[in-house]
Amino acid sequence: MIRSLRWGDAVVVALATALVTTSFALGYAPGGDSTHLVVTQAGMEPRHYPLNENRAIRVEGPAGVTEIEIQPGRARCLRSPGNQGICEAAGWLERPGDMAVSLPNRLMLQVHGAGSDFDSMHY
Amino acid sequence: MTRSHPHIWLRAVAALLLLVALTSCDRKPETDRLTFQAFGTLVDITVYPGGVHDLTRIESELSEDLEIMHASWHAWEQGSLGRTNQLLALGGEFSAPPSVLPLIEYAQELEGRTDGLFNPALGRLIAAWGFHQDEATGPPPDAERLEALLADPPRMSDIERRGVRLRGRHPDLQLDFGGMGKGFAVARSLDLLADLGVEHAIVNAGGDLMTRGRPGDRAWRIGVRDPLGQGVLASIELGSDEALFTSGDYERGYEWEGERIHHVIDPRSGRPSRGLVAATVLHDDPRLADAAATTLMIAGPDDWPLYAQRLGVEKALVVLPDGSVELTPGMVPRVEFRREVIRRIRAAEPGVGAIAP
Amino acid sequence: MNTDPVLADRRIAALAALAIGLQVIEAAIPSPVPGIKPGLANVITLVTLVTLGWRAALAVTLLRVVGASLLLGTLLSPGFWLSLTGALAALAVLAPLLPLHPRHLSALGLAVPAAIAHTLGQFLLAWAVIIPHPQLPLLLPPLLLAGLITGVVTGILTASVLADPRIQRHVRDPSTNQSG
Repeated sequence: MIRSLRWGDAVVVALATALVTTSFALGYAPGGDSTHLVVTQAGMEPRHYPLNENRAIRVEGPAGVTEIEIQPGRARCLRSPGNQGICEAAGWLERPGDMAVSLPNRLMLQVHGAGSDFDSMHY
Repeated sequence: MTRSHPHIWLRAVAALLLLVALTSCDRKPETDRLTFQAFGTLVDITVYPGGVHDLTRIESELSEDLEIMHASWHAWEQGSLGRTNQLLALGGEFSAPPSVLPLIEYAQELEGRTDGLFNPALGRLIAAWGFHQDEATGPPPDAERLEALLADPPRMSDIERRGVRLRGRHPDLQLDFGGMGKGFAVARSLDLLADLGVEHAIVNAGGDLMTRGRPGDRAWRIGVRDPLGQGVLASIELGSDEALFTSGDYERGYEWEGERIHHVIDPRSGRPSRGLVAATVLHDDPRLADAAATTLMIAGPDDWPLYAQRLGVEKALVVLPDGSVELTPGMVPRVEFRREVIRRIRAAEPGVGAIAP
Repeated sequence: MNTDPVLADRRIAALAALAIGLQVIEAAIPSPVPGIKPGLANVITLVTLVTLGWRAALAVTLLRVVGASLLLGTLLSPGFWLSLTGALAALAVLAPLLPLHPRHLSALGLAVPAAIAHTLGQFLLAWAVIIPHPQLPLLLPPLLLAGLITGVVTGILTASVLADPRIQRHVRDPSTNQSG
């Protein structure tokens, strides 16, 4: 039977395997589905930060500085102006869509993934 | 045969390219996003198609317009509403400022339909809880003060209206349109966008939003944040001219002696409403959506379906403190939950509640 | 090339009967995952395709799907439509691939794309019409994997059947345009 195999078979099986593997990667990426953090601030272009390594970000705003901590696969609002601590209270943002807002500094942090993103967030 | 050899490689390459194209289906930004501060909150505009409109001009026109509205309707700073409140308290007849009149008309209509649950005439009460300042703080009003405020509460019907002429008949009447102003603002912003040539957009003011047009041949994809966490509770698809408004206890407020004091005050008790974490309304009239969300928050877990029906709201959901969600039958097909929720469908007849799996 | 229509019809009928039999037997065998079957009847489809051509394979497949569902009592049920859609999707993919056999593709190279197309076609029908659940696509990767494995198994089985000299005679070679 091996004799009846052709080069075309190798191509076909390789493509089929690639298709199946890709479908697993896309469908089941473990939290690696969260690919980056988007920081949107009033009056500025949205900034994208990959969630691949430890990193500290400082964002200046009208009320002071918002400190953002990034770790592989997640991010959080470490410290932000405002006496209600709403931004910090959101905790670790891990899944696509998770978000934190700092109204005093007019900014929003949101995790984005490989899947379809939303046109707008309702909260 | 030499002629069939390139044939197969061509097909293989074509298939490979197709595979690559399919897997890298990460949508290129087909919409533009614009974020700016206005109307006292973060305003987020989504515009379709992307790369076509003058975003700078849109931002400046929209933010200017929204700031004018914000100033006109400001509940405690000097502006059209501030002046209106002063004149109403004096009791004489005066001409209503054009920016404020539509809100007064609408509020009077809604007060009737909600048995006074929706009552923007209680500005004094809201101020007593510390909400007439930028950063709300306590102390909350003591029992004596509350009693005094609730003894003879002013109502929208205490404003006599004849055409554009108004007269206040209650000295304590103070208008606060916090529970419905955003609805008006969002509608106006969409109209302004249409004037600027934008036919497909979402205007999102502090999380409350309305759509117009469609992004091509799909629906708008809206993510609903979980009021009890930071993840996505659900996703909702919206068509054209649909508004999504939520009133929640997590918005403006402060902690006082371990209790959460939030800005949605129940006129019956004079205290922040209890029982619901959030109430969400989907409707094609953003003014109604805004006011109804506020009303349902106040109505509470037992009566909210009744008031939804009274206001002609068919699509609404509420979130309870334990994380469970109740929905109207009309809302069920619109919402796609992203996490496990205990769901109950509530129909409007009081006492009737169906359990959904 | 044997163009006697009566003989061709008889062959198609015989193959269809064989395919129906296989499908019914397979329906009786419990499967670890409901709905996932090795697809033994597909071997018949492939053998027909290679010996009698695409149209004959279409006939055999349609006869098989309808016939088996009649015997199993599933005619016009969702299972029937799924079966039909999968079979048609597989045939659609086999049509352009057939000329590459046997020079560039063996039965394996036909069976694998057919099985993947079969799985995809069934899934799309299920998702579009029967169960439009947003999380259904999560089932697709394992389904595709099962399809791939099924394709390989079917391909190997088909290749063994075709290797039999009695069948070899009838295998069409498009470059020579005759069997043998």
